[in-house]
Amino acid sequence: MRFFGTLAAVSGLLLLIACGGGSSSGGTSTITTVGASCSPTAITAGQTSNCTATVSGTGNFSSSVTWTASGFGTISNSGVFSASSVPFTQQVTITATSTQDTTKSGSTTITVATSGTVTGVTASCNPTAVQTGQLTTCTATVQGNGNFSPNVDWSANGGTINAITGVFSSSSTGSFTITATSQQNPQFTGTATVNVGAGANNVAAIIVDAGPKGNYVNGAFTTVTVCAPGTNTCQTIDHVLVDTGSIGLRLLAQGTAGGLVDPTGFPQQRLNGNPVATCNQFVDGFTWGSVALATIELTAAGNGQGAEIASSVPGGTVPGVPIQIIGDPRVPGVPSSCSSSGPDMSNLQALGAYGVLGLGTFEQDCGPGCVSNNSVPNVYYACSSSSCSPTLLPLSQQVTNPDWALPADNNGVLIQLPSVPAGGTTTVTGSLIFGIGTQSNNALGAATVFDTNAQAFFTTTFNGQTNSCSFIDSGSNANFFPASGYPNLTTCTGGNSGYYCPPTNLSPLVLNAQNQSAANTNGSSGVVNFNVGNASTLFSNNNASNTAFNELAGPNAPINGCASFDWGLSFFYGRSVFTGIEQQPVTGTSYVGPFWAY
Amino acid sequence: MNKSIPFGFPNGRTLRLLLPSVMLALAFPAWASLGDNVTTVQSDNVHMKGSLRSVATRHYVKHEIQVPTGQVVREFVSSDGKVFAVAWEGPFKPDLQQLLGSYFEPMKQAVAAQQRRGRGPISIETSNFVFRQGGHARSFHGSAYVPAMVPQGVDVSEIQ
Repeated sequence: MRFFGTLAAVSGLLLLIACGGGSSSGGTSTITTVGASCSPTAITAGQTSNCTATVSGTGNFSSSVTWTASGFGTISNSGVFSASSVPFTQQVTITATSTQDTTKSGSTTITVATSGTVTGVTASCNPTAVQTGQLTTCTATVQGNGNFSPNVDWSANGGTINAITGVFSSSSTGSFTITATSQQNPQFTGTATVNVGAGANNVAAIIVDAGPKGNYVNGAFTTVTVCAPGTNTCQTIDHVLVDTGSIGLRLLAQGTAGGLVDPTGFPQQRLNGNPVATCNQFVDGFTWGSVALATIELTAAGNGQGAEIASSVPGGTVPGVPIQIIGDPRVPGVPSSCSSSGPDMSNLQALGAYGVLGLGTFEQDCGPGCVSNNSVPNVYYACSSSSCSPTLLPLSQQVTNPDWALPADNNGVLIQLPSVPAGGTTTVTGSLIFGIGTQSNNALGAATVFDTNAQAFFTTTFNGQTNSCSFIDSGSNANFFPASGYPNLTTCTGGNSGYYCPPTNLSPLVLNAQNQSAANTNGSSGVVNFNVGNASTLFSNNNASNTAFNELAGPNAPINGCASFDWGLSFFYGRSVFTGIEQQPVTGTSYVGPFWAY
Repeated sequence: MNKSIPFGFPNGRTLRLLLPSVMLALAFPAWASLGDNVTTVQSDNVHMKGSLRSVATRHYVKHEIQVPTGQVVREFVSSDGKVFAVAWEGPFKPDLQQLLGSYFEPMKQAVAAQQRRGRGPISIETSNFVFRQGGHARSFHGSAYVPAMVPQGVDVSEIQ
């Protein structure tokens, strides 16, 4: 055995008391060890302990260290640890780290015991009366003498409560006792009562039919009522497309747009006094119109329950929820920067519906990209009487997800549609249910939760191709995906060229694909079996009177790196499909939006 | 700005020799329309205020424009200087009128002529041009090309 080099001589050992200075100058120097010790090693809350570091090294090394404490107090640059209040006896780890070589450190522990006494706990919740699914926040006050701990643990005799934050909700009605227990002395508790009343009627009807123009297939329509904020002046609009691929309520105005809404009475959104308009970007075109403020009634009252009413935006400063009124004559015509983005969908003929109810995973339609950007996107516009120019717009003024704006049931939606027979059927009815895990009718149950990425995509693998920009979209009227030369998945000819027409003698094709959560999320996966029929045949079945098909599919852009498998309404039949809104938790579970679940 | 700078690839063969598969940062943005000659469309340069990278492949040069609002636009230029294909992706849709040029109105007419019976991504295939666009709110992607102008040896699946 041979040795190369020589052992470095330990050239110095320095005991440093209450470290402060230390120096390093020139030459090669290394740190070998760092030790730490404190005296006294056992203190009570409010007392201090003096810590010293022992730094060993070679050459002209620095003896300087930085001090950290694992909690329950603070430690000064000179190594003096001051204990704060503790709920019960705690071990605190004190660490000294060499400033010259931060990989070298030494630790010791101090025991901090309680001091002072707890004499009482009181608790209160605000609000004290909520609906099922609505959150209430409870707070506690701990009384005592000396350096007692103000910390409590939260519990409840039903519903769901966060043990640390005291946020409570329940999906069932009743009177619940909320208890705050002193951590330092659990003999002391405080209680509060929360009364949970019946939630709003959270079910809106969905109908799949031919739509207002009689030419729609796989359109899931619902009815909404919009009111001028603070008034009883309301209009009820039928055949609004339920769309989990967009955000916000958009309604066609009366007149040339061919819609039902009279814009009069709906205040225009304003920025610095100027009316705001928007060029909304759908995948197949744009809609141009005003941003207006409305109270949105998503369901009707009934069976002793109230209506689901979105009357303001979280963080908003004015009454009403921002919506788009497409073709509102109060704003100037379409700017060229909007019309240059693609086909104009701002009319009944193109839209095929009297409006779109966007209930996707985002809170706002545009989001942070319209609040600040290197260049102003062509989405929101500030208007004069004659023209409109692109503008940035705060989140609270952007067109908002109406579900997120509800007082409860505001963490997402559930869409339930029955199965349809092979070959399609004339009409289907189903449910649009607001909230997830907030009432007895919208529990996740056995559904698999697929987290999405920040762009609201997950991954679908089909035919060996990974489509990492895939999504579930009730507003797409078929399953649209790149076939990449898959046998017999041929595109229709003529007017149906947006759909697949596999050979009739082979239809329907029996296929499967695998869905996965977005990369670096919760890792769910599952196989989806689906069929693809010949679209031209489907459309002509039953004297061309069928409007609901689970076998309808079509091609999609094959962009590498961001290819999409768009699970449209064909996917929804026979399923319960949840759309979870970003940042919103499902109480009683660990799930937080954005996600899809089915 | 750069309107007076002659820009183009007068000799794609030379470029290939100089820049085999090399990403080249250029100091000025190119922005041409589908089907146009890249040397004739310099007036469009400033429109997107983008930054440009170009990569030469065997059969074409791909210009990738980073638009400040977050989109990426790609233009595929054949050795004779023609933009035979374009592709885009990002949080907003690009100025398709400028990107598609003379194919913008035909694209809209083709969409209107389809019996779409509903809403969803666009897929247009005519003998003159192919146009596809997919995605949803806050994220769109698409491509378009002119089949007759695609250089021999190029697989259209590369257009993305």
